[in-house]
Amino acid sequence: MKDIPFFLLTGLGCLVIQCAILNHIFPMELKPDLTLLVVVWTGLNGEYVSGLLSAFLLGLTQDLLSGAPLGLFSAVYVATVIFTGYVSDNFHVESLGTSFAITLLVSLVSFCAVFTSRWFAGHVTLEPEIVKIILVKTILTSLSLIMLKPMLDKAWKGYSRIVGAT
Amino acid sequence: MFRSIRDVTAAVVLLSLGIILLFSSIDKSQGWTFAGLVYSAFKPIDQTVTFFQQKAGEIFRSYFWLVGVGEENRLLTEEVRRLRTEIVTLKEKDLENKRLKKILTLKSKLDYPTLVAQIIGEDASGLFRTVLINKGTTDGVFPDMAVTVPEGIVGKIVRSSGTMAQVAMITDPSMSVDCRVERTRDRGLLTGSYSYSCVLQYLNKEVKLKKGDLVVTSGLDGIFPKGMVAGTIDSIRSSEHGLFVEAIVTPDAKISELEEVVVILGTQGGFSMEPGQERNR
Repeated sequence: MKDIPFFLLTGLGCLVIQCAILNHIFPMELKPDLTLLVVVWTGLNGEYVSGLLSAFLLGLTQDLLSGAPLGLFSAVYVATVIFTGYVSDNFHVESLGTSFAITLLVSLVSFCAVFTSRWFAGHVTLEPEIVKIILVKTILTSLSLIMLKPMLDKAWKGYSRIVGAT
Repeated sequence: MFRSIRDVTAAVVLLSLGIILLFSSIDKSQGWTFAGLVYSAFKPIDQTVTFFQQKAGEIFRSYFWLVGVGEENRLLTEEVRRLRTEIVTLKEKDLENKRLKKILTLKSKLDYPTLVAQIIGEDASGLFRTVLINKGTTDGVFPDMAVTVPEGIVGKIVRSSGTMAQVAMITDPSMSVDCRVERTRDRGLLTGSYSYSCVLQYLNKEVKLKKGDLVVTSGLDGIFPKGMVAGTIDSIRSSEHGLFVEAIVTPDAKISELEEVVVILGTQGGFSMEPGQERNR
């Protein structure tokens, strides 16, 4: 449980960057979901229950700070940790390439889930613009992992040395 | 103790020469004078001296005096930076002042109690078109209250907590506003769209709309008061099912550039539904 503060702090840090900085770099709908990257990283590297708890709390924060119905991102992020935890337990996922592939898949499914929920709610119709948003956002999010993963690995090493988390 | 004749001669000659020079330089009316001759003779030397003097001056100015200039430069640079910051702050204040003046005009025009709020955040995920404002339930802001700016309607409150609230913009696909085309009085439903800003749906096929027509709220959705500007028609097309026509509408409020908004307070739905208030709907 010592790793939860780390996951939450990095997740919230990424959420702040996402809200405050990425808005100015990318178009609103296409900005990468850095919080999802932290959740994926948590699922692949962290302790399972801590990962789930952190993912839920980060999802809840994302729900509150976006127009999503409460619980949407929480559910999506928890599902992400369940999937990545399973992958981490059964496969060798140390390399950046594998992490990239997993992130690509998870981002695609997550964004599709968000739009599907909106479609069920009758808010959106299936228009080409949505497909474009999903694809570009997925690619940008996955590409952001290349930059974020080494930083997270390094920060995690430092944190675990100080706190004694494994 | 007398000096030699050579010494005396030299002293006399030079003294005389000095006196001659003195007098010849006083009387400038004379054309050619002895002083002129001396000046001509000394000109090359004078020029050489002047040249070296100038060069030495330049050296002092560009090297030795730069110690002081450097410090002065630093102070001036700081001053310039400070003044630039001040100019930017003043410009920002001026712009804010202009915006608030416009908002005050809107507030005085509206018949409902209103509240000015600042936008403090945008949608975190980017997948929803919502913003956060710095007023919440403690200020009397509740869900389903209309949010507007002088240029046109912005959206409605969807969630509110103690000190902040979330506004769904009219460009979000979950938003629907009952509207009319101002010129023809045709009614339609204005919804947000990912592909376009807004679409005015369910318009009768016989409508005679044209580009530039103003779209205003009808007041029939119970949220937005009647007659508020929503946007301008950009183009018209047939709907997917062919039963109706749709119009692409550009909101008049610059949704992505907003900094302050006006929340229309009142009973749920943004305006009073009490009898006698019909004209306000």
